[in-house]
Amino acid sequence: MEKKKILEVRNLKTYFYTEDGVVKAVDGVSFEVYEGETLGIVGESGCGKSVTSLSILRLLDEKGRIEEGEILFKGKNLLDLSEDEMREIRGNEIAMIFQEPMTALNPVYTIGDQIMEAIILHQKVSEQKARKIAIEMLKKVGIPEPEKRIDEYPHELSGGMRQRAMIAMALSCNPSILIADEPTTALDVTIQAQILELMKELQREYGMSIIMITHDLGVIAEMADRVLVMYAGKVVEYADVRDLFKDPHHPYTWGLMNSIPRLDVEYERLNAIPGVVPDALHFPEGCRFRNRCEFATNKCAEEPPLVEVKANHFSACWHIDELRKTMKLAQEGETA
Amino acid sequence: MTAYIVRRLLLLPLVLFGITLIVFSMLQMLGPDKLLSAYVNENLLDKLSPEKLEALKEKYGLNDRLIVRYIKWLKNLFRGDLGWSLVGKEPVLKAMLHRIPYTLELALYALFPVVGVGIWLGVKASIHHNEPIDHFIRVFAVVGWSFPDFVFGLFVLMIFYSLLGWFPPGNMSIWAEEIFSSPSFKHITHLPSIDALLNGRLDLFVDCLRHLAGPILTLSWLWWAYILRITRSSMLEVLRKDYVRTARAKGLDEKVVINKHAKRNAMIPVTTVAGAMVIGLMSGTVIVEAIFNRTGMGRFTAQAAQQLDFASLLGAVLFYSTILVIGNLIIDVLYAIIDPRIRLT
Amino acid sequence: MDREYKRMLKKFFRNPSGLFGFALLVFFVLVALFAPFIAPPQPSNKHEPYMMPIVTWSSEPQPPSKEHPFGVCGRRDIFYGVVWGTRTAFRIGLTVTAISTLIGLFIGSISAYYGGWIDEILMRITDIFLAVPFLIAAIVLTTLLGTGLDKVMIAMITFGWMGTARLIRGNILQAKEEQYVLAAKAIGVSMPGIIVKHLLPNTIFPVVIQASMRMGSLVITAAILSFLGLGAPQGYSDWGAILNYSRDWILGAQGEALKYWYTIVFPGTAMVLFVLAWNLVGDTLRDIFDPRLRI
Repeated sequence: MEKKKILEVRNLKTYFYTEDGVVKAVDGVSFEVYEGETLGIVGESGCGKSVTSLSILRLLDEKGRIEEGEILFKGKNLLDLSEDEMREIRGNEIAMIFQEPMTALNPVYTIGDQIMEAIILHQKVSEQKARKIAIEMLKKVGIPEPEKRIDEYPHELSGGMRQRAMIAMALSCNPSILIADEPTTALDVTIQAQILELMKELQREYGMSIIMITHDLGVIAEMADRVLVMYAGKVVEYADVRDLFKDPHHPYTWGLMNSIPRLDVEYERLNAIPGVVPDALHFPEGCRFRNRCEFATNKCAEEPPLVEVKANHFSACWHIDELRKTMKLAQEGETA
Repeated sequence: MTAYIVRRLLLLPLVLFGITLIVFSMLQMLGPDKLLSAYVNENLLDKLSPEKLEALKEKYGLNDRLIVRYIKWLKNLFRGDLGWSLVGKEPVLKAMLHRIPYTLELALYALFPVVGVGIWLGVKASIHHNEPIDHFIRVFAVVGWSFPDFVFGLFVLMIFYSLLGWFPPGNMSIWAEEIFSSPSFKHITHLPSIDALLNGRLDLFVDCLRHLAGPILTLSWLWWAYILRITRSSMLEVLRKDYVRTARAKGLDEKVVINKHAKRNAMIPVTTVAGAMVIGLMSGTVIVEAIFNRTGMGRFTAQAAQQLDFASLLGAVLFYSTILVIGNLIIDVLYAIIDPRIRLT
Repeated sequence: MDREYKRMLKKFFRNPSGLFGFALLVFFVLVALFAPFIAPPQPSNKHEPYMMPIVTWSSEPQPPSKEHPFGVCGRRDIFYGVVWGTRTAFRIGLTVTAISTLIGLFIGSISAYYGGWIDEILMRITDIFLAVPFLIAAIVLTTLLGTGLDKVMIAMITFGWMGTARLIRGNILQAKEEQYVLAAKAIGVSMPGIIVKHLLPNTIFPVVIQASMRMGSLVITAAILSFLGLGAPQGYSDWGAILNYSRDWILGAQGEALKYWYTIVFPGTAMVLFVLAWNLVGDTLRDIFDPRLRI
């Protein structure tokens, strides 16, 4: 069965004009999201994954500008819409939840007030009706005593409950796409698992697509159908989740995977990727990963294109062959 | 919420008690003979025999031990006996009651433009951050904040009275004064401009406002600048907050985002400095009334100081401190209304 | 630490309004330092150079002229008063700020160090002092002490230390929980030693900023008291006292409303610029040191 494309981002370039210079936070990113699937976007902090999601909703701050590209949602280019038309999309068609449920909820209004606000706005219903929907949503996201909790302020809820309230708020208008920007990073490990499970359940029920933004490959493995790996504002690899984990085609992805400790292997030390993400003002020319890459050669001063290395698997690296040889050796070493 | 207000109310007498301590200790810096002038009409004082003087000192407890003296003084205070006012040529309490309405009227009128315009300009500047209008408002704020009110008041008097003849000094014109003190005029609120309206005298009301305009402008100028600066910076901070982004992500209109989500949060720091504003407005009345010749508590204070009228001065301290304490109480309640997180503590 | 200061200095001088404030301040310092050369005392006031020399016997103000560039008011040369008034302003501002800040530092650190009932009592006393509006308190205490510039300063010091005390107390209480203090405690450094060696240096910067931001308003308050005739005596080189003269002439003459403009404009401008300079410097320092407090 051919799935329908619901969102397509083409060659997105988002730059920030700061006092110190231009930051090319997102530099030519393309991907698509299909109906009902979960796309994971993974990368270290500062790689442009959050900026990508804010660009989709056009919620950048005053310094950020979308320079180039197209964001096609159900065939319409969101970048061509007026601000009024865009507001119709936000919260209604595409909703978003954020990393810090503490700061993402307004401290001076009750959670009920904040949920109902979106419902009244987009569904044009009365306040009583909106309240009913809000209570229904709170129940659905697993908040006990929703009739009571609806009149509480964010500071009266625990972190996990707040994130549930955020999810209730985001899903209250039944959006086609939910963008989740590190939704579990600020939470305890056990709560993290609960929230992820909840999101999967709700996805099954509502059939929406999820864009899951995270730095955590564990979350990706748990949630995503397909994965976009970003590094320094660029896509370095793009593949199905299984294929990516089984058969990574980019040194950065491989490095990320090696930095996750495994229980079945004994380590001398953890394999962190050496070096740090380059300063956003001074990305290296050519391949932006080359100053941390063990395979880097002079060739890498030239920018590697994102090419289809096998079916539905894209990678941007000049040295895939060397990488694969090394991986093979490492695997043999492990099994031996 | 109620518990919070009750707790604040219970603190009130404690602070007032502290104020009487300060006032009393200041009084003790004068010797008993000088102190007596604070209690008794000065014309009488010269004619009294030494025995009579002793008797008076006894009555006001000036020869007693400190603690007894304090208790006696407190008793008199509670009876409303604040002594004799040189400036008012009548008992201090009476003199104050005549003057308080003028000061309250001025302060209240000044408060609204300050809060309204200050917040409005501050929000405006923050929305147009780093645009020309923002720079303009900022310069206005910094210069305004550096303009001492008595210098500004002199300029206002020179330009709006001497040059243009718009805002005359004083309480009201002589003809208005006559109507005001005629028996048929009902004093309902004792605030002249309001009473003028309640008596249906629009001309009187306009006359009051004309006399109030200069003082209001002078008094509010500085605090516009102050409130606007705080509002602007706190709005700028709030606009960067995650919950503002959440509100936008919901698809809310930018107006709703600003007015509902950002403004209320931005008001929290503004409320915390409102106490400073109450002090400033009340202190400002001293200068403004002195410059514009208004017979309020401020000018009363200045005159009492100039004429070494200690009884009146201490009455003034009690008045201003009480207003300040009540003002702070109102601010605390406002604070709790705006920010639900406060109500718990 | 050294590099940190250098970075802050660089930031300070990159900020146009801070730079402007600093330049104004330097200008005022120079005027104050070189007052005897800019406006040399006349033989008549040689022994008390702060008294403005009497230059005419007519009580009516005289407009600016070559001899008296800012005009004459109250028989005295305004230019002389404005120049020497700069010294008065610095003297009042620096003295009051320095002493009241020291008192505040002392009470605040005692309060934070001992805690318990000592803290409780000191803080309640602070509350009570804060319950009287500063200007009113200064007026009353000056009057009770018997008026004059020195009495004005004593009164302003008496009611001017509370802000610093609260600030330093809060900062020390906060810093007490910091790692480096806990570490010093753990290796057995005594608490007074910790306060002097670790806590004060790390909390002193906000106090300095607060003090510089107070300078402007302190000078205004002193000028108000002089303006009301409670501070500097008649004829003293003090901006407030000069403005007190000008009050009598503010309404101008028949048909010439602005005839005596110079009696307000020159001392008034000096005052505004002086306060502006301190406010700009204070604002900029605070912005650099603590962006969260930005106004």
